[in-house]
Amino acid sequence: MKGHLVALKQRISDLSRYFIVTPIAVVIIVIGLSIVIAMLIDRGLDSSRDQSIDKVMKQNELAVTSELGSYAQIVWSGVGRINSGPVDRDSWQRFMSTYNIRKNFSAISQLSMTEVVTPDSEQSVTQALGQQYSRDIAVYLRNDKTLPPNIVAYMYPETENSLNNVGFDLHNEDLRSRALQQSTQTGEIVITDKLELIRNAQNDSRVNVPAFFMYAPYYDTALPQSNPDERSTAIRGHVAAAFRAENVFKSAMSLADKRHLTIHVSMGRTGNSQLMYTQQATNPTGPKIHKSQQLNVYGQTFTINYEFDRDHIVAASQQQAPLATIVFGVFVALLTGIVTFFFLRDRYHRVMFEKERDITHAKDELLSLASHQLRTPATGVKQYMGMVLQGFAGDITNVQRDFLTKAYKSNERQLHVINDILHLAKLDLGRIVLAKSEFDLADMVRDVVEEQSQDTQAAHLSVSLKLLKKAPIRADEHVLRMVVENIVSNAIKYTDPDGKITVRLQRKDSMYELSIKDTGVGIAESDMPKLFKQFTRLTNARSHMVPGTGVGLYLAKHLAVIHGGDITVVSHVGKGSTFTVTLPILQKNL
Amino acid sequence: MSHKILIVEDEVTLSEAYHTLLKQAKYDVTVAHDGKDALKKVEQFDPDLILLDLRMPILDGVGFLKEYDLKGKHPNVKVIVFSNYDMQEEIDEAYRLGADRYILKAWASPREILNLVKDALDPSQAERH
Repeated sequence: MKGHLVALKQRISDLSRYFIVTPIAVVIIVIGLSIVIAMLIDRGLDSSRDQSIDKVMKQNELAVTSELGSYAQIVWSGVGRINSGPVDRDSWQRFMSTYNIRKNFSAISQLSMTEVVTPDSEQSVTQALGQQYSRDIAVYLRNDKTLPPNIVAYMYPETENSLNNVGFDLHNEDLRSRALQQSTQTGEIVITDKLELIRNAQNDSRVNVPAFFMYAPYYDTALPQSNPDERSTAIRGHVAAAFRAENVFKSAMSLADKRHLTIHVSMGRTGNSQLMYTQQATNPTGPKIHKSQQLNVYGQTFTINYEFDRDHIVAASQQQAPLATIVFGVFVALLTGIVTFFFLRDRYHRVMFEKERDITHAKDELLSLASHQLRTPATGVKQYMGMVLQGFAGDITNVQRDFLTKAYKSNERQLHVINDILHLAKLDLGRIVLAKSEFDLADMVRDVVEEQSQDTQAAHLSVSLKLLKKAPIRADEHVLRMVVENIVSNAIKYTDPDGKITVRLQRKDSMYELSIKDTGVGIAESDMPKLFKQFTRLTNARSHMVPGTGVGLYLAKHLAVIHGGDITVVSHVGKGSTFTVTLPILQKNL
Repeated sequence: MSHKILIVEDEVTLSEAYHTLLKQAKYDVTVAHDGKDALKKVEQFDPDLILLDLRMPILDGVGFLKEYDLKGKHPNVKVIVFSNYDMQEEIDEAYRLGADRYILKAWASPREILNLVKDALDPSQAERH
């Protein structure tokens, strides 16, 4: 039996871990899940970001390309004008002014027409120009390459400074020359690398502003232009548009996020790329994502470098979604964990309660059965011994009577013990049977004390009785007798020789108060809670079986309680104890 | 003429003890060991008093009482239910079926049993304990 109990206790402690481990596992799982989801969202966030970035970059590409495209239209239209008929200073002004570039195309700072001059035509060209500009025009800063000069003829708008540029050979500068040649040979618009605008070619004053030019060729329409060589022969000049880079890109990038995006625009082939324009983010924060984009437009390579504030690419709410998920997940996990814990614990307790109840039941059924089986032979002994003692088997000697009486009493005690075990069993099964009758409590107490007188004398204890003369009560006499017997015998058991036991029966209001005071070993403060409670069924039953009574204090208290009373104790270690039994005089109907 | 007492008890130890006791007290005694046996014996024996144990094999005390129909058919017969099992339900049932007395075997000494029997058979002649 003990082995089984130990195994059961082990299982119970294993099970108790179940309602601690499981909730913790649940918490961990839910948090783990939410971390996984957060990671997925984060990845999704990355892809959202990427999409967003792509969108921005595509938008910019489109903006830049279409912006430059619209400028190209103007340049080509200039070419168209030239091809449709002779152009002079006035007609160029008139033509270009219709575009209202200051208003509509403010990035263009100048639209010019150039003329290619051959040794044959030089004189006439310069003379014609001189007439239009009312001053002597000559080709100046002639190039040192073998190229026929390509001189500025007309420009729009005309400024005091720009008028001085008429006659300037554009081939003089390598960057321009290269672009012009490329344009000539391809027949296409070409954008130069970064240049500085010339304010006044005469005194070589330059405007320190990043700029570039767009050149479109016009040819002698009578000549073939089907390959670079033919084109080089047929070239008659270019339409040139000057751009301040800042104005071009500012308007192109006007839709981009100004707060959290930095854009650098460079022009030129790799290794020769020059920064043209920077749009600085006004509120840059946090980590950055760098992206680079290359556009090849009109023979020029534009490199756009982006610096995105990583945390501002997508909406703030989306941005915080992963963190929010984890926080939410933790919260849910804790909540679930707590609920799980309480649920499991409750179930555990319920299961344990039921288990214990079942075990108790089984034990008590067993106790009942055993007790009843024990009663029978003991009853047999009682009958036969009783018959001899009561004269039904003839006369007996005094010695025989003496011996038989002792045997009879011993057997009676045994029957008492069995009876008390049964009571214990019944108590838990809730089946105590109270057989109430009217009797005198004082008489009963006196009787009990006298019964135990042999024990008191043997233990050299003095007993003093202070009882009411009469104490009528309506109760189960046998049950109360057990209670009193238990307390008195405890007093005897725990009091050293030459000690004193005082039994007092008083009446207080509607209750009887029976106090049994001893000068015994006393009960420690720490043992007090256990006194009436500690009860492990079989073990205690045996240890509380004092000869002659066998009722544990647990039982005694319960028996008093079901009568509507109680048992209390006051005790000091080394001094003694006083047990007080209170019982109602008039019974409530139970 | 002495009264006739039927003892219905399955435990031989006890039935013998009671038999001895009652015979000593000059009663006419018969023993049955279970309810079924008891039903058979009552036909022939026709007792004045039955000492009836409750827990018996084959047919128990309550079963016997039902069959015997104490109140209906044998209103003059006295029944003392004695048992070592004190279950309230059984006790109530026995009384309901007409039993006069209930005692716990374990508490009743021989003299007490005799007194009970005398008291049941003839209340006026009972020796007060």
